[in-house]
Amino acid sequence: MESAEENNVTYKDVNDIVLKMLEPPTVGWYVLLGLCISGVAIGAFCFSQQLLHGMGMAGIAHPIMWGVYITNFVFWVGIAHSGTLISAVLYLFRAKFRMPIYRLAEAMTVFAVMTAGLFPLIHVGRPWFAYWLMPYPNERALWPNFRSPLLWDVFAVSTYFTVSALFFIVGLVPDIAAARDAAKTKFRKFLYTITSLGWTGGHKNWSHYEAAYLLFAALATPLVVSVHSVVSWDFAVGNVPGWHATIFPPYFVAGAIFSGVAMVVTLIIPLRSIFGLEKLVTKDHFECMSKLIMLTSGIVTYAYVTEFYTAWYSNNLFERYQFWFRPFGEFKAAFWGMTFCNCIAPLSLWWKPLRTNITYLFILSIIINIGMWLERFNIIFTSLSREFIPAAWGGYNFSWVETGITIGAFCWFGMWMTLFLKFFPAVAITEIKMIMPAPMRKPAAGHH
Amino acid sequence: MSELMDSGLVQINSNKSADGSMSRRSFLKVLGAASAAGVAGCADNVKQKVYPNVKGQDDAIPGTAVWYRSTCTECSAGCGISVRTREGRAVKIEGNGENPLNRGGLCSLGQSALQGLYDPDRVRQPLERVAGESKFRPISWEEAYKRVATALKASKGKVGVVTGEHTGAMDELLGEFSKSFRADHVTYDSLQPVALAEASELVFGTYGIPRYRFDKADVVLNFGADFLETWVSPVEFARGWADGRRREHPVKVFHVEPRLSLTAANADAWLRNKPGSELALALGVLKALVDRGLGKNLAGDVLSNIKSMVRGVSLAEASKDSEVPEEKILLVAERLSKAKHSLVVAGGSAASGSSAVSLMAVTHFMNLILSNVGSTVNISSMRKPKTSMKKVRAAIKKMKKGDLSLVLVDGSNPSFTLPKDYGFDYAVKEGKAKNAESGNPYLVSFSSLLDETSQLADLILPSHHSLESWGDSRPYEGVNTLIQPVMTPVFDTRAFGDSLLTLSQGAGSALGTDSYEAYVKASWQDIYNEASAGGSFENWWRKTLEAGGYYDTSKLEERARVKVSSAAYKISLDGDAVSDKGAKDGLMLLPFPSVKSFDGRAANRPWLHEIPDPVTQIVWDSWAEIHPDTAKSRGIKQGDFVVVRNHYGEVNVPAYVTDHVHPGVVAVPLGYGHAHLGRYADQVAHAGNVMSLISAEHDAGGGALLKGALVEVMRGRGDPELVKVQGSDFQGDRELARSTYVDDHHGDDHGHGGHHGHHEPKQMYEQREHPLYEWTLTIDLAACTGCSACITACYAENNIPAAGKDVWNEGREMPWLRIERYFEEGPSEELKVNFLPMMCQHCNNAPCEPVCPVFATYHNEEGLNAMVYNRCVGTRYCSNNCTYKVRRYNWYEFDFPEPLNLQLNPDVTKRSAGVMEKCTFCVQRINEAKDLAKDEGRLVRDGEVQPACVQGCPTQALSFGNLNDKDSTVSHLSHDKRMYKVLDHHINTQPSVQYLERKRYREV
Repeated sequence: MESAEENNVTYKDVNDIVLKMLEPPTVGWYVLLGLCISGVAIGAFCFSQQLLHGMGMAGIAHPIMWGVYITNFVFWVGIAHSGTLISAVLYLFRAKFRMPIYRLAEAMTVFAVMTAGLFPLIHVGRPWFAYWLMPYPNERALWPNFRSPLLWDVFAVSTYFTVSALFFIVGLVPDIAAARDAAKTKFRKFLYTITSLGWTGGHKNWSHYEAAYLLFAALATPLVVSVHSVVSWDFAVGNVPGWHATIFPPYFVAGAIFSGVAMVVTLIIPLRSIFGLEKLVTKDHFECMSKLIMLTSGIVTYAYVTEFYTAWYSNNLFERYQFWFRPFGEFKAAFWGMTFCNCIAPLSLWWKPLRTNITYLFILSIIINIGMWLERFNIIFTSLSREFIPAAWGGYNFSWVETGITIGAFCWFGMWMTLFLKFFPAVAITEIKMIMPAPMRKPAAGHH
Repeated sequence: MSELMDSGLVQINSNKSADGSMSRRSFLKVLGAASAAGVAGCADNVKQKVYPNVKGQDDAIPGTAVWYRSTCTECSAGCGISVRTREGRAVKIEGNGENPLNRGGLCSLGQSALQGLYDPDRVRQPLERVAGESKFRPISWEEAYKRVATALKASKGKVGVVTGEHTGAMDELLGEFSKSFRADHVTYDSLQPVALAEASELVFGTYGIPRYRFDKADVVLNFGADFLETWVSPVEFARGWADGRRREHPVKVFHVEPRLSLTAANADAWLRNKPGSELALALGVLKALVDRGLGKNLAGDVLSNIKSMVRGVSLAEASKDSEVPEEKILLVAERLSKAKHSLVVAGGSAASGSSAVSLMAVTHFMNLILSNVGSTVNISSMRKPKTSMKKVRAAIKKMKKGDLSLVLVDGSNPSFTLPKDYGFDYAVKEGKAKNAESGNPYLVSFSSLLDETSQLADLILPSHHSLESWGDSRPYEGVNTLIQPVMTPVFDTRAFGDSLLTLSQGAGSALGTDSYEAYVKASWQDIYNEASAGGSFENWWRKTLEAGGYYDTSKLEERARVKVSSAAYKISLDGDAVSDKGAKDGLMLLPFPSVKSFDGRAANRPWLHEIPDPVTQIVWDSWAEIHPDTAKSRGIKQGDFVVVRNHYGEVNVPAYVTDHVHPGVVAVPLGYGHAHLGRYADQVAHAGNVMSLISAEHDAGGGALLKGALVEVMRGRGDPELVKVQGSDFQGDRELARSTYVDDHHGDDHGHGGHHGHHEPKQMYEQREHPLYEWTLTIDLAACTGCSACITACYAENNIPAAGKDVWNEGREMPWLRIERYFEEGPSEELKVNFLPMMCQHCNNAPCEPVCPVFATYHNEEGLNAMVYNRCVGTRYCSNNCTYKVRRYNWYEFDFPEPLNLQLNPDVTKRSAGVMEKCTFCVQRINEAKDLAKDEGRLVRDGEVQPACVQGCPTQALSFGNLNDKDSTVSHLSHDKRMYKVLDHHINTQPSVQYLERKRYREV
């Protein structure tokens, strides 16, 4: 396997390459950050309109009471998934190809959950009372309803955020220490001294670090499965035709990983060329990710087929209508768009030259991201538009408020990403070194 | 309020307990005395007397409703009403159960009178035109009266009085007034079936509209009369029809009309005829009846005359003319002749062409031949409409010539409801110009709305709303109802009666009394004498006010001898004359009144605009019904703007393309396109007034011509956004609205086919228990007409905001109750229309409950699906999971512009933005009844709680009660073989709403 260890890279090179990313920002970075902050401001303005004038400012309407916001929520939770998968699950499986990309994937996880977490607040009619979903002691002994999947969501997402943030921070510590040692400005020195938590690189440090890292990896792994299962229950527990299916949890988890890996690809390709990480993130890594995409695309496609089969086999009037309506009804464009993006386009990866073609992968990853957004949109929007009572069937149009908030969410994610790139090492120095030949040696012709 | 007391208002059932043993008030008295004794006992020996400063009035107990009986004056039907007042303001109008006409129900229009009372655009004080401008400025009542009185004095013999339909004291007063000022009194109400009254005079010898008994008939043949909607006395007729539908063999209705009206939709067979062929068709049926040898009961000369009248009629011709198959004509004749009791009626706009009188006369002949006169057609007690187009024409002619120097208008809006072709506006202009030198006001409006006619006026002396006035109504002999003020006036207005009396006095011809209340009382002395009730008049008066009126139902049942005048046989047998000015080869224009628009008199009431038209499901706006073939040839698509025009003008309305209309017809509802009325009317004003297209060319002098003008129809420009509420018109195999075929089961009207009846599915989990009450609603689809009065009742009771056209267009409507309409397609005669009222089903396995994360919605121990607005965060999950899609979300903070907010029911929370809401089964009424029952140590009795929809239903299709009570109505109905619960067998929601299948005939 071609990898960093075979790339004639020394320990010093790793430090240099990665820490170079932290050097004073260019104009381009400021422009990017400025764009992101402006986008966030637009989103915030749109949200303020919703607060002032009511949910009516959004496009959702009867019978589609959940729309773009919940689509975005599920989309971002899904994005968050692959980060944990790459960092924790693949860590436990000792899959080495994760090393150069996992830091970025983890950052993506944390920021994606931070983005996802905004949407329930944006979505509810009275966000100032959203804390009622928390079980807190109060004088009237009012508790939330533990039977509601939305409450499970609160627990699942907040747990996921806590664990992945801790995992992320723990993993960063040795690298921050390296950055601290190389820091040139007073501010950075101060920042890294605080955030490296007094890392000395001593034996005990490493021992504790390894133990903690393993622990968090073990904790995070079941969360990969549980969080998106719980999110899928928001739908599967409901009785809406098109939602009420037992296949939803595995289907959602696979879909989440699928979209998450695609998002990692989307992010890492530009970074790789901007910061010159070609030596660390090689074509082999992309091929591994492509294979992961192929696998998860297969699972997702299988789930789609199963949904149709179940609807037919159940002989349920409403399910059957729903699954007739998706490919042939008013909103068939969303269905066929989803099918193309998630089932057909990834098939091209069976051809090896495409798996290693960086430009193609970048385009494909964006197609998959769109496809997965459409999938959530299909589940939420199309199902709700054709329920039990034909008189109450309907549709809806996006409003500018929803569009603004969706753009704002992408910018919010981008803003954190941009800041992160300039302040913390986006590639794991420590872990890359772990899989490299021992120091001071000439690069090995071959090991194992 | 003290004024109210002094004015002698009588409140009914204020604090009376149901059995009268101890009222709440007397209980409080006893309680007070007891505690006073206690205080005296333990105090010092010094005797003390304390006198609390009690503020407020005796009859205004905060939190306690006071009810007043009165009479609805929205149309001339004269339904009795009970008005609920809280803290001195009217908050709800319900039908008066004691009134023999409406028997408790009330239509949407009548219920919406509250929004007329609290109309934010009402004229708030007398106004005077700013000379030469279209603006008005306020003046004092004294000044206004002085100016009109001066004009009146100067204009003796040259006064015109235009009013709406009046009976009773107001009719007498207008008569006296007209006599003393030698005034021309003209009555104009565009929807009065005057032709029918005239035909009665021809055939029966008495002018008037017979009282039709749909409840007694087995078979009805109806030429276009929308008796379930607006025609003559729709609540009375709808109830009669529903009583007929409840029978083992429901009344069978054949409906002839070029378009599918609500009445047609409820008929067993809708015969879509060519417009203008009604008379030919009626003659065809008459001929078929004669051919079957009917009419032996008639005096020999009558039958032979009828026979000679139809001698030239050929069934084949009639069929060709009307496009109704000959076998259908024969079928109708057969069904009519075999029925024990039958009924033939004609009316509505489809029967308002130039041949209307002949058509009505033919229906009378058919009723004579079928021996219906005396059974289903009562001609001893008739309504006598006073509208006369002859008089209207004469008055307008006089105005144009300048022969009138003062015109007083009240309760009529001729500038809007009279076809432009009659030239009322022009006559006002001419009249004004010819009387300009006198300096006196020419046109004086007493309207409390700035309608089109008021806009022409020189002076506006706004009248009280009928809920603020005294008055009476005597629609039929034997039905005498009173109107009493239920609250102090909202604005600085005066009752029209008082104004007339004051003006007469001011003009030097006092009419005996100066208070209209006294005038009404004096007028009722006769009825008092007739009633020979004994006791003093005052006592009787009080009792009559409590009951809402004096009813002598025996008068309604009297038989009368029929004298057919020979002129009756000489009626013209020609069909409708057609005016094709400006539209050769055009389409026949069919303007029609509907339950939501009527003739436009209530166009400024948002509740009515918020009701979707039951058949088309269009809300807020006007529309033009066009047949797909016609639309195709003109390049018109669903929702396009179309221009409907002829010589007289044009209207621009969105097209509703439907095959439920004859290809030769374009049907447009009346009442839209007000140039002036108010903010809500303005929202539907762009359409233009369809009345302006009507030609006066073939006016035969009866009622207003509504039909007979050809129009060109072409595609217009713009994006009108037709707001159609219903997602899909078809229910497929979902069996939401079900029917049972009565003729499938010989003599057994309870269907027992495969899916009929309700089978409780086997349950896997422990079921909920309802120890005391299990509230249940039953809806009898056999009696539901789809008229939507329940929706209006719900708006009024539950403070439902009027969302407005834009919000509806967004799909964010607010009503808790909707009426779903599903078509089962087929040829027009076999078209089946299903109406399904849908509100929260209060499921025992409610899908909305487990998904709410904060318990804002939960199941209570009385079977209600309760909703805690305060706790709602607005995740909207409940609505997604609601199988029936009956939850409504507050997308915005809706406001109630002053003084519409005075109508808000204090017992119901006004919901804020971001909160979910839905039908509560009127839990406030349940709680009120429970409180009372608790005070009396008993359970709530059956029928004691009536949610607003149940109470308001004109046909009593809904019933409500406790399923735990084995003797309750709902318990009995739960065993009915027609009972089913919507979707329960599919998803086991266990709803608390039971539906009874609609009854249909497989073979009409």
